[in-house]
Parts: sequence; C-alpha cells; structure tokens
Amino acid sequence: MIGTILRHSVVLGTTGALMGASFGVLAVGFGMSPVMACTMSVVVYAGASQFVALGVESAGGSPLAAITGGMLVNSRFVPLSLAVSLSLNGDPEENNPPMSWPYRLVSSHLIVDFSAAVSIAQGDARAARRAFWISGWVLYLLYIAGTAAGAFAGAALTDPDALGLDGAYPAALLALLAPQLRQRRPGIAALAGAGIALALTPFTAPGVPVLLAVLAVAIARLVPVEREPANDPPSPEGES
Amino acid sequence: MTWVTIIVLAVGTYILKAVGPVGAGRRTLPPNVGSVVMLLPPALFAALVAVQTFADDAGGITLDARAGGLLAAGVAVWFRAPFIVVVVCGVMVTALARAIQ
Repeated sequence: MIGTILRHSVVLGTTGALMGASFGVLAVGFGMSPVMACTMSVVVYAGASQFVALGVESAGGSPLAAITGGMLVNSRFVPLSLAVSLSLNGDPEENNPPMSWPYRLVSSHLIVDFSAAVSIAQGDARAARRAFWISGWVLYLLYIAGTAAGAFAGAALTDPDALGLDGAYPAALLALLAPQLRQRRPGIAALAGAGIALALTPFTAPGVPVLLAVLAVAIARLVPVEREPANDPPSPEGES
Repeated sequence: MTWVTIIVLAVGTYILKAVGPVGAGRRTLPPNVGSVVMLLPPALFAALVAVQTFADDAGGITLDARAGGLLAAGVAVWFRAPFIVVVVCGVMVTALARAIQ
C-alpha cells in the first residue's frame, strides 16, 4: 500500500513540480528574486493562490488586493481541512491513538487538494494518516524543487501546457472521487458542486465558485440515504 | 511581490489549513455534522475539476482541449482503470487535442 501511495504521489508530484516550475519562471519574470519565489512556495504552499497573488501585484494591484485574492482562492481549505482531520481522526469507536501536536501542526501545512483527496479516500484512520503523510511530503518537496528549478534555471523549461499537464489534476481528482460518485448522496453533492461552481464562474472572483460549491451538500442532504450501503467492488488499484 | 504579501498570505493560508487538524482537533463531531463534513470533499473536488477544466483566464466558461482530457479520464474511470492510467489518459488526450486545435 505504501508503494501504491508513493507511486501515485510521485506521478502527481511531478506535475506539481512543473506547476511550481512555471510559478518560478513567471515570478522571476515579474521581478521577484529566485530566493523570494522559492520562499513563497515553502511558506505559502498553495499553488493557485500564489499565481493569483503574483498576477494581481504584477498588474499593479496593491498587496492588500493580492492577499485578498490569494486568500479567496484558498478559502476552500477550511471545509477541506475539516474533512481531512475527520479522516485522520477516524471513527471514534476504532480507538485510534490521538494525533500528536507536532503531527497536527505539520500536517496542516501539508494539506493541498491531492494530499487531502488521498487521505479521505482511505478506509480507516491508520491508512489515512500514513497515506496523508507520504503524499503530503512527496508533493511538498517536489513542488519546492520545481519552483527552485523554474526560478533559477528559468526559461530553459518547456511550456507544461503544451504537454497537456494541466489535464493531470482534474483526471487525478476524478479518479480519487470515483468511488464516491457511485454512491447516491456523494454523487449528487459532486454534480451539484460542479454545477454551482460553473454557474458562478463568470460572475465572481476566482476561488468563490469552489467555496460556494459547499452549498451542494445541502442539496445532497435532501435526498434520502440509500437503503443499502453501496456494494461496489473495490477499484482495481485497491484503495487500501 | 513584496515580503509583506508573502508573509501575510503564508500566515493566512496556514490558518485556513489548520482549521481542521488544529482547530477541530480530536473533538468528535456529532453524527449529523460528520455526515455534512463527509459530503464536502465530493462537492469541493467536483467543483475544482469543473473550474480547472472549463474556466478560462478571463473568468468565462470555455470548451477546449482540457474538456477532451477530462472526457478521456472519465472513460478510463468508467472502466475502472488504475489511477496512473486515468492520469495518463487525461494528460495525453489534453496534449493531443491541443496539438490538433
């Protein structure tokens, strides 16, 4: 299982590294020093918000506008981190040992979409903690390495979009979401969430559509829970 | 970019991410709240997938190579392909569609 998680993380981490690299290239292009760009990836560690903040400031926006834009994009981490901590704590009846304070403090920083999705996809708290810790660190280190490569080596890098790498994250999230899409309530939550986000995209600032997608939960709760739990065979890769 | 922006954004982002592991800590949630929280990831991830695939830089909705990649990934998921195959399908079809465009 560790091998599977590690393999998945390295695949996604590689595209994460390229995302970091394009941030590094862009940041230096807009006049940030390479050290500054790398520091930002180390301490902020939330790709989309870094691009937004950079875009706002390089377009002449104030630091306040850049921070607000970045925080808006990151607002989804509030509901996401709640779901992560629920999966890391596990069922109270499993009697899992409590997470230590250092683990909680460090794991908070390691929360990104993919590490969250991996840990939520696990069956129990032990597996979730291991999966989160592995994927969290692999993604973090590769992202920073990518930023450094982009910031210092710069324009030598090819355009990741030409390689179709922007198709990697949606595909990966879809794969991790699949078991839930086959159940009634989570499936409806997903459909409604996607619908809400797309409907709001033309009218709101980046980040708002995804945050307000949490309202889909209210819609999903209107439908009754299935009488029997979903009886799907596990996916071929095995979520364990 | 100023250091102030970086530091404030870093602290702010950390606080948002720490709401769960640090804020909610080991408090066990009432079953009702728990069932709401467990429905959050599908809603959020589906929204992210939708925005990453269909939103353009100008804040509009657009259908381009990325939609082809997502469709390919969806077909792979439908046939229960392994994770890596799903990702590779998404990447390759996105690149292919973009090259053809």
